[in-house]
Amino acid sequence: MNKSINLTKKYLTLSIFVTIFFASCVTLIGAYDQVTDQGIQKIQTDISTLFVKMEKNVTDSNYTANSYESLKNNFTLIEGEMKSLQIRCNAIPKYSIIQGQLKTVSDNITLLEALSKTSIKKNVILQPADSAITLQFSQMANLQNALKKEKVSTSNKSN
Amino acid sequence: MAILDFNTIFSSMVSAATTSLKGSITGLTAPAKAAMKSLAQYLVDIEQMKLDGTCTQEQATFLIKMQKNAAQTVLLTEEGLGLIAAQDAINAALDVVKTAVNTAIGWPLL
Repeated sequence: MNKSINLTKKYLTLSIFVTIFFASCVTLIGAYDQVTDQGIQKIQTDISTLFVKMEKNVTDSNYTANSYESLKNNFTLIEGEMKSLQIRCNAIPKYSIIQGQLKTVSDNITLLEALSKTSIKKNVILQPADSAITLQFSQMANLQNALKKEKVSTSNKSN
Repeated sequence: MAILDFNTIFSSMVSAATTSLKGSITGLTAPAKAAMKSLAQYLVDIEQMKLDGTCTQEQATFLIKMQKNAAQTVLLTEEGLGLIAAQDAINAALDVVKTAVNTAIGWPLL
């Protein structure tokens, strides 16, 4: 009988601690991470620079400078930054949405690389690619800003 | 001569997506609709590029895949913003009763 009461007490105490721990704040998406935000901005800048370079080369009819061999180092740099950011985000709890966003951007960088291996002689080919990737980064910035705002309002509440 | 008509393509896409989302809380949001509009426009543009001889089939395939990925990013963002809103709503609901509950029970439960 006493053993049963002790067991019930232990169970109740554990339940209370679990309730206190989980009921204090509900988290459905991982918190804002400054390094991730800055990493996204860095990749965005590098990609924008690459697009400007590619579009200028087409405008100047400098197709050699637009060959994949000439741009390979730019792609390698961007892909390295992306991989590093993906590794970081994989380690952050409840970051599956940001991981998903990075995956779609990464896929588009791979597609841009494949596109650059074809002979691009008109900017009309680059513009849809540019607008797709620009849209992706503006969407990622929207989510990052919302997470940042969330962080600010949470810290204001706790002060 | 171009065959694809933007309005027909776009309305067919919106109609199919709306049917698919029937019963969901959010339905087809404005950003998702905008992404679909852009995809429809590029499908029409690609037909024109093919007619003009400015785009190969390989390039068109890459470009459409890129637009699909961009649309996916838009939807993921919507999902993320929705989660933040839901998180705020739940926490606001808990916050408003926090003091009363903690005082009444005598334990800092919330």
